[in-house]
Amino acid sequence: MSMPLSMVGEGKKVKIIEIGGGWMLKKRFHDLGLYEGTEIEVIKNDVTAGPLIIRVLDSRIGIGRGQANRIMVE
Amino acid sequence: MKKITIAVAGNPNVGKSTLFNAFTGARQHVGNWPGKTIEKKEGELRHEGHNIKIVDLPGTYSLTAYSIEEIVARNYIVDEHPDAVIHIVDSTNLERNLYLTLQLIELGANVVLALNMTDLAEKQKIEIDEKKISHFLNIPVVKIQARKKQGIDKLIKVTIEEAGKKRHKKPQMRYGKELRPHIIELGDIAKKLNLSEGYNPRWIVLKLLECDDQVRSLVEKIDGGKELIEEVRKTRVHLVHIFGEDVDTVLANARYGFIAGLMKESVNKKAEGQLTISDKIDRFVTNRYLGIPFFLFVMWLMFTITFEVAAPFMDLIDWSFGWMSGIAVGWVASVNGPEWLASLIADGIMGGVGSVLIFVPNIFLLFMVIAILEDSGYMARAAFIMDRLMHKIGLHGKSFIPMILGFGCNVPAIMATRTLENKKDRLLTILINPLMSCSARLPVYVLFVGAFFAEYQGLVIFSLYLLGITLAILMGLIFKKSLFPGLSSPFVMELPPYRMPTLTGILVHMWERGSLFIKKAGTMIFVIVLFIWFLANLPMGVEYASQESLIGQMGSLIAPIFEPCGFGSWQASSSLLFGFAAKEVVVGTLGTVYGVGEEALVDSLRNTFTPLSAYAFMVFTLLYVPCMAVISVIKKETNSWKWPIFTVVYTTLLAWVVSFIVYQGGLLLGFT
Repeated sequence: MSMPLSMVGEGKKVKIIEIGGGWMLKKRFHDLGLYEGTEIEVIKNDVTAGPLIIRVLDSRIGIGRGQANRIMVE
Repeated sequence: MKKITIAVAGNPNVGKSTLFNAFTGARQHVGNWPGKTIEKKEGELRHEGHNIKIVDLPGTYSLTAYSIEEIVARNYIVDEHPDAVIHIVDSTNLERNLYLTLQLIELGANVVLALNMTDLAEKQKIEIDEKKISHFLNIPVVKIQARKKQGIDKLIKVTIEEAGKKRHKKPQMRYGKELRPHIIELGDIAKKLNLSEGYNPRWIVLKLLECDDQVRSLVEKIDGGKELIEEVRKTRVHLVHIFGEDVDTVLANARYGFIAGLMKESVNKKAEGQLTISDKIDRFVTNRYLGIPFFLFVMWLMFTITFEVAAPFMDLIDWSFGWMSGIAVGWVASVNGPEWLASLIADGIMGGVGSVLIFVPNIFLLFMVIAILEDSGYMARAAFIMDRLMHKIGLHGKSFIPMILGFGCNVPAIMATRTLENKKDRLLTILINPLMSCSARLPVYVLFVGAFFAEYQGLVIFSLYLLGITLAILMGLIFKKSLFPGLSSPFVMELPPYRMPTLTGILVHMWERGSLFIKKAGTMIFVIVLFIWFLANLPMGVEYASQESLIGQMGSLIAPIFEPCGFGSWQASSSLLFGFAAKEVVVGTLGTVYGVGEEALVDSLRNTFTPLSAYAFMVFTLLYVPCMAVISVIKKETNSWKWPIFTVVYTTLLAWVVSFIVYQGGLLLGFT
């Protein structure tokens, strides 16, 4: 079942299936290890507001809610 | 002997500066690049008869030309072609770091991989077989611990060997049977082009496939370049058809796939998936309820340290200036020197420069705390928790870091906006940065608070900082609505693991930035203060620093402007006038016109200010034009005169309006 990253609860591990948004942003995600197929773990997500923290390839990435809405995971 | 140039590249937060310092010791200097405005470090090193130039490139995640820093790092490697590039990586986060390694190799550089923080990796039970990594990537790999200076000699030795070799070694990585023939085919076309030295045809092709604008416009200018671009476009369309995904994603997948395979073969992680200490700390400091109170507590702590710890040192400096002044005046008297010479030394030099230098302890401590915030990793969290708030003014959390740096000095803070990718974001962050109260304004607060609000020192000063932040946010909101409408840009940033800052790291940081203050006091402020002393003595025969002196006349001329704000004395007006050059000069001027010694100065201030007008004066000092250096850095960073002039005008107007409201409102409320 796919859903936006912003809906994933804390502690859950998910796989990225699609990264929406501009291609520059997509490239930045690639640089940070976020690409279609990566497994990530949501460390912090208040669900209602504010940015998220995810773990990807042994690093923590802070990511705005707006962007998290445009990343589809399963 | 030929000089060898070695560039150091790497992600942010992997110990690049530590390695650079380990290489160069104290012989480093900060230099600007010809034609570039980015601050970069260069240093010298001698090793077994080799003369080596070490170049510290800005920290980047990739070479995709996403931010200015990446373009600079990339252009340096391509245009200046250093003899070797050391890519320093964090051993605890190897997989992501190696993505940049691949790009560096593709660029055609002679790369040496330095695995840093091997001790941390060992602690986390990560076993790394560097020989296997070396085999897969086809480059030398050296394990180091930059902090403990371990492995540095070996790294240098290996790098020097590598520097002599021919370029274009390839890693054992393939882009797959669908992609590879296309890359080779396009590469053959690119090889025939008249590319300037340093450009690897294969790299050019890959970048064109990734739609890199910078490379594209470069190729367009070459004969036959347009044909290559057209071929690449056709290939892209073809590949999208095959893969059902765009080429960027395919390339990223291929690279990460190769890295994942490499990791499997050469890295053994024994403990995985457990919560690290960083995660535990993050649970607390980024908590939605506790995050902001904790941040405010950190800020409060920062200012408390700045003032409380500094106090005894300040007394000492004040005392020594009084003592030196006494000796100098006594000496002038003993040799029957002229009275003006005694006044020049006592009032001009000791009074003016001394009243500025007394704040050296505050400023050093402030820079120390900022260095701790940066080095520990908390700064990135501050950006994270402020993201929600910053979004309201159309900026994102990352813009908050330059704002905190502004507490130290607005000049590096404005330069730090280079990490912001979006032009509008960057400009907006630059424009509101001067409202962040820098350390040069501190002397004014400390002086006035000591004279008028002795019991509530910390609180009053804290209120000024908060006022600065509030107005920065408010102005940001206004500018966003009126000057830069549009959506806010995305917030994506790495939160580095928490690390215990090293003492040397902090001291180096503190000294680098703090010593500039001393230098400034010894040069520019010294000259201005002398100038003010002359103005206070002219025309000939006038009583020193009286209203009839030149400075008194100048101050009196503009004093009516400040009358409604509560500080219409000529002394206050003239100090603000000269404060345009630098905020320390406000205190320096007051010190010169009122004479030497903190006590004498405080007494004089009490005669010309009330607590309310003193507060209004501090508010004005907080808000109006920060200093000449900030104006020139805004000019440099925005590459136009429009924005520095705009900053001068808007900050001065804002300063007047707010201090007017403070003073008149205070009077209405019955304060004096």
